[in-house]
Amino acid sequence: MTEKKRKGPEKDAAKKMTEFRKARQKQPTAELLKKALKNSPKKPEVNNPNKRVALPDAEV
Amino acid sequence: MIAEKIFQFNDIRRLISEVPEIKNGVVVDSNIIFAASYELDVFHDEVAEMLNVFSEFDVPLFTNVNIRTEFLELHRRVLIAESLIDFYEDFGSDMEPELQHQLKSHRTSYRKAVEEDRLFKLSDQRIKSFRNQLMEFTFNEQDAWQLFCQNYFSTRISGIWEKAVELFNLQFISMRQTDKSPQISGDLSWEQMENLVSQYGIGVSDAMILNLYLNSTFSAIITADSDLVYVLEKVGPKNKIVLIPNRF
Repeated sequence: MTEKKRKGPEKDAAKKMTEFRKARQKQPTAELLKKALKNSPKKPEVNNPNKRVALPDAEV
Repeated sequence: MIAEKIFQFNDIRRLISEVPEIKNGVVVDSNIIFAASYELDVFHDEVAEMLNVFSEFDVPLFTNVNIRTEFLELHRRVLIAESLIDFYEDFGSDMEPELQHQLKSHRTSYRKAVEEDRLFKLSDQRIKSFRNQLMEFTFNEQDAWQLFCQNYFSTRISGIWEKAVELFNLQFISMRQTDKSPQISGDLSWEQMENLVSQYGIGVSDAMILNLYLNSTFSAIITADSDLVYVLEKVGPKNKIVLIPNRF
């Protein structure tokens, strides 16, 4: 079986790649991030041995 | 017949006419695909021009799993750097003074690199340092590093390889025994690869790319990696061409 002829890159591929990249730089609003930054620095909760864990409500 | 092995991009048209096997395809290294996809890379313009010559002659470009890995890693290091600057500019005033200072200093280094026409890549160690600082802040069980990645970095890096495959029409060389590409002409062994590492002190990933090229039917590799050029100058047979940027 002969191998099918493969093609080269698209014309102006690098320019199109740059356009693709730039279009993806727009970010959604990061509201949660703002809220997180307003919290005092602390270790992630999973690493906090003193954390009190609320038990789930008992099933009725 | 061409006797030398190392050529610059300026020679590409002459090479294509003198070495017709090039039209069957060339191996393209990660730093070349990266340069083509990142406009601040020092080789971007000349790589873009060279790719247009390959487009004109319909020369296919081949990659493998190592090239893909390196390409994504390069993007990770530059795109996290860029994303951190946007993050600082959006939320700098909400940050603790120490974090604010670190990010401001990062932005200054980035701007200096751009002014000096240098590519700015964060080291893995520096990325971990920013991660450790940001994970100190949490909200709704998510830490600020996670939120930063989701909001600033993720959209930048997602799909970037797939787009490169589409636009550069990248062909994948399979090295698996069960599914080996027809361009693999020799046996790819770990021993050969380790020998390249031990004899020349190059990185493992580079040695894998080199080992692939040396055991393939390809007559040319395009790279901007001085390790690959160095070793190929030493061990590459005369019919294995290395194409490097003019400004290399």
